[in-house]
Amino acid sequence: MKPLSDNNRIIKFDYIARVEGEGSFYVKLKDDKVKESRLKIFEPPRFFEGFLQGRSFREVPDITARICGICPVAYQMSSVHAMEKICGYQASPVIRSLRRLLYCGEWIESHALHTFMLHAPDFLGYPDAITMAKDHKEWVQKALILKKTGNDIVNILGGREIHPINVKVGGFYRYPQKSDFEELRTRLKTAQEIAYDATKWMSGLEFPDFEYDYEFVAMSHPSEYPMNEGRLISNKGLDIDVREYEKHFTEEHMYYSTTLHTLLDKVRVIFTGPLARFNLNFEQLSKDSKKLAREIKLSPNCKNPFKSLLVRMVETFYACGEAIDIIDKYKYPEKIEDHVEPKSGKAEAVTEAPRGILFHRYEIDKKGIIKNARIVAPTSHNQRIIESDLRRLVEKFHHLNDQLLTERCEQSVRNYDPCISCSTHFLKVEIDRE
Amino acid sequence: MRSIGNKSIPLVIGLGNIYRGDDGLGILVINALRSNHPGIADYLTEEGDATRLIDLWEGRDVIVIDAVKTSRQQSGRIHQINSIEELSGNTEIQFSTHSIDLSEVIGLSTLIEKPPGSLFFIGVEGSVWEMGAIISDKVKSQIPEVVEMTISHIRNSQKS
Repeated sequence: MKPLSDNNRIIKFDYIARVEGEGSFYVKLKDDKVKESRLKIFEPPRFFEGFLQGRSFREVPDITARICGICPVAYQMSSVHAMEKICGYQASPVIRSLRRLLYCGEWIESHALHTFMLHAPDFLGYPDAITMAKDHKEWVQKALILKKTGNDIVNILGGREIHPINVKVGGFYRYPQKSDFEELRTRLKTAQEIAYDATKWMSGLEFPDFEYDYEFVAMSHPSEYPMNEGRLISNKGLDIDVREYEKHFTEEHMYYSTTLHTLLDKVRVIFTGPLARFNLNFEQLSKDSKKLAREIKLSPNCKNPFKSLLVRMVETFYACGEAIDIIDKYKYPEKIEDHVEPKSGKAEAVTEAPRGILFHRYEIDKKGIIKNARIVAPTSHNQRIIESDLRRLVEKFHHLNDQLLTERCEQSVRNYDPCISCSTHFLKVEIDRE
Repeated sequence: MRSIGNKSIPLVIGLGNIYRGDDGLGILVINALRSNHPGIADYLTEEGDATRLIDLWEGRDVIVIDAVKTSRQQSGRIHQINSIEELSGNTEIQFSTHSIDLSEVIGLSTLIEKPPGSLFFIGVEGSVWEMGAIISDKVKSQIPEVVEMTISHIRNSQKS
């Protein structure tokens, strides 16, 4: 860190742990006002989209699953939905419900990892999960049980816990027997209880006083909390079919980074992820989930991004219950039409990854060969708002010493659970107070 | 459930992502081991979140292979760590780019009393991490050496 002068401060964050990936944040303060801020995510050229060109449309779920080790289901779901739209295929109700179950698994596992291991230490004043675990061993053990339950769903339906191999354009290669879910159902009940207790526990943590009039963007479905399907809506008037995504959402290249910042209608900065989903879809949560949210005084007009921690726990509780409901209604499909013939065309799909909306668009020829692909990850959607939050945060909490301000900024980045490894590596953060 | 069956033989884990340049090292080494040395160990790859390993490695002799970063930036350089204690004390190596790194997961395993019986770590310094990139020549050329180190370690462990 550079020494402080009378009017100027320079703080450098060389490394932010507990985020997926790598990048950096630089902010320069003068007279306690932010003069310059740059969130750099070292996103490489879009190798992956090029990598997909020339591949068969049937390979897409397996290939795109490897973009992210934490949310492979999201990549599979956005890709299969886009491909099926191109081919004019309508998934049957049983496939639709199993896909929703698979997504429940990913939400549970991703949210449990993020809330307990990555974000909770910030709120409790610990440098990392291990230090936290020394004082909160019981919660860490419960978190691992919760997380493993999500893993188990993905394992049963996806064929393995990571990068599921059982998902195909059209449905699944193998359908589980009803009996496959018996043990899982018991574990889900336990997981749901853990999620309930953990939500209550976390609601007692101290949340920084930090609110802003965000434009929240999420999917919206008339009868269910959004995961795989729906329109794209916002609290400031957006209401579009996902086919219109590219008319409204553009990516802006920042001079200081190879990454792209997503903007709505060229100027509007958006906020996607659990808090956006919760605020825009509160009524679609289960009765018990709404009750839990009310018990912890979490309203669907929450503008404090730090409370994303609580929303993730409410979503985890919801996903456990939703998974149980799906399992209870499940009947093994004796006969199912899930073969998809390729057709030439282009289509878009958006699904709700744990950390926000994930856009895929593909164009294929009549043999099903991919002509081009475009993928916009949740972290790209949230990148500008992460930077904006950091800027506001530094101004609001400028009175904190360098170390505390640094920690508060890191905590703020983690509000968004950025999955930066979707595009890059470690995140370094640098704040300068001249 | 993913289960790795034979607890009397070592568990060899390759960490990384095959589609992310040098990060694919661990996966490629496991592929080579599976092809050329089947049966002498259980082989496993983990591409994202290492906390998934806790239930799998409890009490077992574990060998972990991963691409790493250090401040020296010597691509292709091989690092070796011989024990959990040595791993915990390491300050030089950044183990992985995953959300919770290997040393943290080992620490968590120990705290909840599910640590591996022993740990041997082989890391190769990488320099190419972009999604969709292929593994660099410097790292790829070390795969045979890492395979050999792994096999030697297994054989030496069997003798002792």
